[in-house]
Amino acid sequence: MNIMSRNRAGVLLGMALGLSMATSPALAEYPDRPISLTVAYGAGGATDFQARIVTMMSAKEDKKGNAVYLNGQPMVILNRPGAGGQVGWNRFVQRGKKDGYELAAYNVPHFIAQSIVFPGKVKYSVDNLEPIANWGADPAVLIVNKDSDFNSVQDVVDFARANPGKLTVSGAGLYVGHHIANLQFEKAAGIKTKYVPAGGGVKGMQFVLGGQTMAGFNNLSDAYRSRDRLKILGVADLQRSDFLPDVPTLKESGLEVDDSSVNFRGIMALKGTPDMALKVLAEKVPAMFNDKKVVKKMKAGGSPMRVLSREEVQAMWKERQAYLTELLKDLRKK
Amino acid sequence: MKIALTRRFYVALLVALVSAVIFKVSFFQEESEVYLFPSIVSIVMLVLSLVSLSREAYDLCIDDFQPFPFVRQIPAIVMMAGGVALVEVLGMYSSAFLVLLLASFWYSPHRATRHRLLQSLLFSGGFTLFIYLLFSVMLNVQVPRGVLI
Amino acid sequence: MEFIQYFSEVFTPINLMILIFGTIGGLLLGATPGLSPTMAVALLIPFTFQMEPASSLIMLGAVYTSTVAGGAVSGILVNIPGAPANIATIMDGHPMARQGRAIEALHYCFISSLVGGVIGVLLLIFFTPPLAELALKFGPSELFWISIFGVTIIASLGGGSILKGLIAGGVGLWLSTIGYNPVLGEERFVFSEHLAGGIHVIAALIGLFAIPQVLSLVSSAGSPPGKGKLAELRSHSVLKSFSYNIRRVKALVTGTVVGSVIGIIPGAGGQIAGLVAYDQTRKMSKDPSAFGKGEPDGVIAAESANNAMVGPSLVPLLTLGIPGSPTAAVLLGGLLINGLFPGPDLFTVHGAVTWTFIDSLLVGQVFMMIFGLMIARYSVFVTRIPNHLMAAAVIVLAIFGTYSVQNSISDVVVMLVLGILMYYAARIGFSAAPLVLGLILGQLTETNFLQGRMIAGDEVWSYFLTGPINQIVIALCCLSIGYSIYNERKQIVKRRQEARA
Repeated sequence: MNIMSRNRAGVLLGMALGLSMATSPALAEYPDRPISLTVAYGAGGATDFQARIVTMMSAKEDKKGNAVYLNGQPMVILNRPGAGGQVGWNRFVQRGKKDGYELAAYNVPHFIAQSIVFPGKVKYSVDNLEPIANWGADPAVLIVNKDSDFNSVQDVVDFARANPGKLTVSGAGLYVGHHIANLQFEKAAGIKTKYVPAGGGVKGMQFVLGGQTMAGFNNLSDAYRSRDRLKILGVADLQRSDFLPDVPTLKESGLEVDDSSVNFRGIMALKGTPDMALKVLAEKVPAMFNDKKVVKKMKAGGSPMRVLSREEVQAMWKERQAYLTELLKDLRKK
Repeated sequence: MKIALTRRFYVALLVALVSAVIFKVSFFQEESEVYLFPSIVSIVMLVLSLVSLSREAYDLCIDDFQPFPFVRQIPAIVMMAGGVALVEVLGMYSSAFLVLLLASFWYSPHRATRHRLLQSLLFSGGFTLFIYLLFSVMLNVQVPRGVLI
Repeated sequence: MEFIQYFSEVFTPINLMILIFGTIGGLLLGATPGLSPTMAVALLIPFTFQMEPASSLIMLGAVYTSTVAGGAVSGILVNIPGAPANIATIMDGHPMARQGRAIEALHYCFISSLVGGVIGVLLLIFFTPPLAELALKFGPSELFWISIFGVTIIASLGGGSILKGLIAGGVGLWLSTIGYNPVLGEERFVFSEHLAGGIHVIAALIGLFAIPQVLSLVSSAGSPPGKGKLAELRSHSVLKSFSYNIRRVKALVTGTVVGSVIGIIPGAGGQIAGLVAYDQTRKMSKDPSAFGKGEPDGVIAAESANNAMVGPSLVPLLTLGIPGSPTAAVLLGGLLINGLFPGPDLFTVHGAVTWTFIDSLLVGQVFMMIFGLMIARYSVFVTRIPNHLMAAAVIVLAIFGTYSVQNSISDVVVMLVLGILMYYAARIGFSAAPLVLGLILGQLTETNFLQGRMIAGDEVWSYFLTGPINQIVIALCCLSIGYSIYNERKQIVKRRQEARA
């Protein structure tokens, strides 16, 4: 037995050495292999579904067979859901390679707010990430069940004033756009609510539809799709939405709530990614978002698009960072 | 009744100790809401394991132990652990090939001959190809590369 | 009766081809240890971009139904469930295979899947509006009690000792709390960087079942194939299986009813439908001790339940946009990409697409059974694979399958460690099924517990204890616990009598 084993081991060692003779591939123009895109939310959620649409044309070739966007390389979606995006983004900044082949989808204000509230626990912030381009903007809307007694934002505010701490409001999670909207709502109306993080936008919607919570902040696109079962009372944005021209903004309803909670979605890289890669991405990715097929699918899916270039997103991040630091300064945890 | 110091008693003791450790790390935490559910679970586990310990002590349970083999399993455990450790060095497919080759060759019931090695090689190569077609070509999964693929 | 007129759409050459390929592909993907239905459907979404809406939904639907049934194949033959939904199937399916009745077990599996699946889809066709209203009634308190009910069946899953089953379940529940708190988002118990993000259920499932299987395969690797692993494979005529299967009315009805009810409840999903149905069937059986040793009723109940759940899980999805299971969540993406918004419009404005999709689910169930029965015939090849090759192949599949869930090597490490520990834990009387159930239910329980407390505020007791659904489920929990205690007592008395005799 022993001798036999030793023989086997020897033969196998020889095999292993022979195997390692192959060599690594040569460098070529960026990108020369598929790019991965980490999505910090589950498959089927709004971010995941939009990310899949906006990246679907990445490998597109024109009629002559020339690559249109990213050298004919596909973008592959990796879902890493958990804790409102913290799991996926933490992993992205801790384990991701800065070679331009590992990108992630961002959600603003989510990741900025989390980096402010949980410094130390959250490893990412605007300082170690590089925006590439923005594809969409989804404002938060205040919704109530169709059978609810609330018919306007004022009704909700009146109830909350008469019953402090009794108004339950659902949203996708903690320190995501919906939560920011609710914080601003509380501050502007001078009320106290019970915010219930539902664990996903769809779950938050379900709480309102099923009467588990009295009201909710949710994505405009999702609320728009369920509008026959809901009353949409107000939009947390600076102007009314094209999808819902009859719904007033919260500002029009007399509450000082601006567009800070609007959920911007886009693609980012790690700081330290080679300039050459960033340059290619900054030029090609917005063009890919504006592809006719992408625009058509996004429209069909009821997902509001807002394509912003790298410079525009950099400015937007900076501005949100400053505002959220101020809004969340009392909630900061060690 | 006299306490029966059977093998099962020592296992129950070990289980109770593990429960106690879990209880310790779950219960004594500052932020109660975050640790509320794990604390409840750990209390229930502690109670259950103490009940189990007392029952084993008085030998009230059925003997459901099976033999505890080590010798034949250790090479397999080493191969699996080694294979996973090599993934980021060699690349996922090369280490898969190595694991396949080692496992199929080592545990083969037949004598080690050149013919057997060839068979193992063929099997490992074929199965690695199958895995490659399934995961990389069909399902488009990005696997880690190392020195090799 | 609107759905009848769209059957012809299913049988257009292109749709029929997609349905057949989707079904076969789904069966094979589901039968590969380590590939879960959720992943299969998610990976197929990009392919659907280029298709007509109806065709792409037909493909997703076909893959959805057939992967669930396909997962039973690796469960029965190799003792590795393809998905959490198949855990209950292996409890009697694999013992049957060891007795040489693998083909028979696979027959029951696919025939019961057909029965459950068709009834589930019929519920979807005829009762969608009232079922949707029912689905909305399940809030945090109701879901909390449902998951507690799931916990109560842990006790009887252990096979041997109830105490050991409960302790294993407790370990599973506690392991599920590693990583981020699902509601408050703060990290706990991350002792190693591999645990950041928690233990993924699929990784745990693969580790807890596949690795012990590898380790026991290698210990019998010396013996010629067949011996020590599976008894000589007996063939079994399909007709005989049919006539036996449809006479097992009690198991079929229990499985279908449990599967349909759990399918409607958003969030519970098919993961626990099979286990609950299995448990109920055993408790109602005249001879509960036959279960776990190769009782066909176990396979029948489990498989009819996990396919019955498919139709009803689409009810909240199609009407309200609320997915009832992780796989249904991915299907939602497939709908939206095609511009189909859940809601009443789906059945009127987009009726042609929706009804074609639902009809294809019905037809797909039939195809699934036909191809499944064909696969059953070839399962003889799997049982002939020598142990050392099987062990090597399962190791590699387990590693790749786990990795591909989230493209994470940490998951593979966790899978391996859990698996090796489980092999030795099984030797001292702990089993894997309660542990996995604990892991699955942990998140569900904790999330709904914390959310319920938030909604209730000061009125926690009245929030959790009032309301008809809460009280019904609480009653079920009490019955379940009571039965377990009664059964344990009975066994102790029996043992004492035997000892005295």
